[in-house]
Amino acid sequence: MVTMRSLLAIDTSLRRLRWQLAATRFSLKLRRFATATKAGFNPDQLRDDYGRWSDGGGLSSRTGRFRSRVTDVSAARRFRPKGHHYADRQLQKQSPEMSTEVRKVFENSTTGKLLDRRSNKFDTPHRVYNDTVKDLFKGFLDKNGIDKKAKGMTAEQARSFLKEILESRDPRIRRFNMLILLREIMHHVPRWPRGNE
Amino acid sequence: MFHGGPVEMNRYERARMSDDDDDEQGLAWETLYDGIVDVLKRFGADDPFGNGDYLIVDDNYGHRRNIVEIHRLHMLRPEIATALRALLGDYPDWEIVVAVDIPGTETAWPRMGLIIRKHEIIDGLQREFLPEDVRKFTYPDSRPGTGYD
Repeated sequence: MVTMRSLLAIDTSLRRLRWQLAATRFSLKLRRFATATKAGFNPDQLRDDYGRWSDGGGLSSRTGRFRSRVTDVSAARRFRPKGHHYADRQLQKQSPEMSTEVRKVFENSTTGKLLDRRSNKFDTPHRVYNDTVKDLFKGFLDKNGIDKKAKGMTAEQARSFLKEILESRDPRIRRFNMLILLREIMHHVPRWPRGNE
Repeated sequence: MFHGGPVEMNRYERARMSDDDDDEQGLAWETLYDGIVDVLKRFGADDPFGNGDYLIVDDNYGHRRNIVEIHRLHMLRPEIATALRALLGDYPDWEIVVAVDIPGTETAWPRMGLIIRKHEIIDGLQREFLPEDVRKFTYPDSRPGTGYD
């Protein structure tokens, strides 16, 4: 006979399993990202209409962004949501002599599309994150004897820098990345109906 | 009382596999981003590190939303909100979030801002923290709200 206590136990177990599932998915994604960047291969890399790998267009001289104005849906395929860039795009804008290979590494280092929609829209983490990553990048260039415009930086060095970001203990960097991680995990935790207690 | 019910276990996968939605979203996001760049440069300077008037977030998270973080309060002027709102004419289910992020107020001020939609503006400004001239700002078709509206 199923008792109330056993139902509650099942309920609790289900919640725990769902939370673990979400955490495992995220962990798996991080590992895939690490493997992909290590090998210089990204299965999500943009492709053109013929299935060939594409870098998604050039740097716009007008806005400093990685495209010109989108005019059709096929072009939009190259600009599907990528989510948060760990090495924010400002680094690329601030480093005019950065190589295409390094730009690709940074451009592909993202969380992917984010699903959480419930967080406070007035959260404003970008300025502080940008500023902190900029300082970290400056330190990385100095430490490795790289030109301040990132001229001569290799893709391997770019991956090392990404590793520094992901492993950073600076609360301004870690807070932002953890916030996204936690929101995505919480997105998978079901909201249970209330009002019939 | 036990309230176990069906849970959408595959919502994550379904959303990820929705290529058509992503194409549509990507196209709209990019078009609106370019529009916001064109509008705001008439009113101030974009600077991602807080040394200008505002920052337009250039990461597309996948939501039907573009985000601007403002670093100077004059960017809350109603005519700027109106100009941004005009961009949403063809995007009735999109929104432009204008979040207040004045350097130096990070811990002193609560999160606040505007959510601009085609048919309304959510006014989430906490006026008790703002200077007198900014408190007077009113926005057409606005209603009070929060960052969760």
